[in-house]
Amino acid sequence: MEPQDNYKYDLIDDYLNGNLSESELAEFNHQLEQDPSFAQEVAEQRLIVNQLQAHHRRNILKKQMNLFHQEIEQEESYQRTLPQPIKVIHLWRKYAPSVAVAASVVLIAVFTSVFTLHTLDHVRSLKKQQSSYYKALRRDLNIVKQKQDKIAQEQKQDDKIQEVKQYGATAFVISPYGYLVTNYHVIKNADSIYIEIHHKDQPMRLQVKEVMRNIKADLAILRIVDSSFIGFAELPYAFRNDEAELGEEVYTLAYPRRDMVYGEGSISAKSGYQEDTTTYQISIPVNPGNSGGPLLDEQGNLLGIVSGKHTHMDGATFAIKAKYLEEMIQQLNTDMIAQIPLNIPKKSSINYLKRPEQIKKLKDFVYVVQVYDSKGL
Amino acid sequence: MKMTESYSEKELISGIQRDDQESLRVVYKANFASIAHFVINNSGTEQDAKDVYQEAFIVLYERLRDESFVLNCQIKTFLYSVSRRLWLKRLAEKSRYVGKINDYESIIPLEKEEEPSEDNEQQFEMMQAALEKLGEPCRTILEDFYIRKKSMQKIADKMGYTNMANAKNQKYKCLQRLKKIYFKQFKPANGS
Repeated sequence: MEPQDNYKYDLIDDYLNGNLSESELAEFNHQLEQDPSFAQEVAEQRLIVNQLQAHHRRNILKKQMNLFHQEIEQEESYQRTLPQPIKVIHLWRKYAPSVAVAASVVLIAVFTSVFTLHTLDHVRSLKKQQSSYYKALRRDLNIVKQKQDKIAQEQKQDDKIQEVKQYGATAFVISPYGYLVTNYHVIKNADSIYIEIHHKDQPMRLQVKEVMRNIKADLAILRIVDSSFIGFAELPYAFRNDEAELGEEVYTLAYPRRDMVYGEGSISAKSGYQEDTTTYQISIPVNPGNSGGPLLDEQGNLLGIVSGKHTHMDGATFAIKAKYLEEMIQQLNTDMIAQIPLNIPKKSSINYLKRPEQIKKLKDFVYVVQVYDSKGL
Repeated sequence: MKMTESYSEKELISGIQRDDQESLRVVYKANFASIAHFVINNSGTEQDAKDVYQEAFIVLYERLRDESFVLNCQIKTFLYSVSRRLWLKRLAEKSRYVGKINDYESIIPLEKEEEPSEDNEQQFEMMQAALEKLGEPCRTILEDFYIRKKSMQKIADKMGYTNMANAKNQKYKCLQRLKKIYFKQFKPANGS
């Protein structure tokens, strides 16, 4: 390299930093005017240096922002102030007015107390929403009454309902478009299947239909067919890519009874009943009502689906490995059984949360599934 | 969420312009909740909210650092409007059915200057790519000289060059390499 090139760039650097003396500056400006290629070089130099510095500044800002964010997350008030999605309102639009009132009141309470939300405009628009809910409700109230009467009739007529209720189990959401999964053995004799949500002691039922079954894996995919259903929120959990390890800590959420039950334990074996490689053996005690519930790892990733099937035979609990569910979903997509292809959730939004916080996010995606079989049991 | 009362809007703005860490922290922490509320109630997750908010915050920061920019609204309105814009764009790209958008704050129609500029984003990506291609030891030498403003002597010592002339030469070569890589990606409008 010629030494004068080096010198030239040193000079340009000095110019850009404002380090030239008056006379040097005058000479430099003169050269700029006279020599367009030199002017070009100066412009390029300026650009590169500015870009370098802007790039660096942005990286610093990113680090600062992540630091601030950590502070936000660590603050006690964080989890309490984070909103829960209000999709639930849509599901209940058809049902009892009290629910809408309660929900609107909660909405207003949340807005005014948690976020010092300001404008009267905002409250006014909420009131508008409320009145349109009321209108829709008045319209639909008759239909609701009819349905409820029908269900009450069915419940009165059929005293096998007592036994049918024991065939309640668990299902969990696998797509925001209204798809859930449960065990095949839960729904195999069903005439009709419902998922049930509990809100303030009032059970709400949405009818579901089986869209796909895998008898060998003991899995069934269900789809909500109730017309008032609009959607679930985006799934917070991800499907785990690899197999679980022996001794890995795991947990379950399920409805062996009306209230959701949490269980924890570990992977006891990487195979199941009679060396079945499609299942894990887990150390969590379950009842038949746990069938169909999710098995989750420490990060809240889906490892499998609990199957209550062989419980009473061995005293052990088994869970079908998530990869079989994944295969089913892929099959569903290939065969275009669903109108919209289902995504296999690979991005978790809960894996940095502590267990109770993970559960809070997950519980809106786990439901009671109730099977009605009028042919007799 | 109310901004902490010990700082006025004006103070915070000038703080950000001066790159004051405390101003940045106060503004960042005070405004996240409302964006999180918006994103989560419009089909997003906490992570989405964080990503979108940080993107918007970068826009705010870089705008304020540009002396020709005048903020015509409150900081929180700016952050909310930009975040909202960014989030809706993301939703559209995912081609998810968006349906009804739930708004909780007032928004400003974004004028050209306030729109999240793709220029800055592009230039950042270009420099990032160029630096990655440049590799070491050039990247360290250039960053030490142009960003950390180290003297050539210090750089020579750090990199183990026997004398200053060597170090200067190396810096010169690295600079030429970076310029070559960078401008290769860059297509100037006038085609020169």
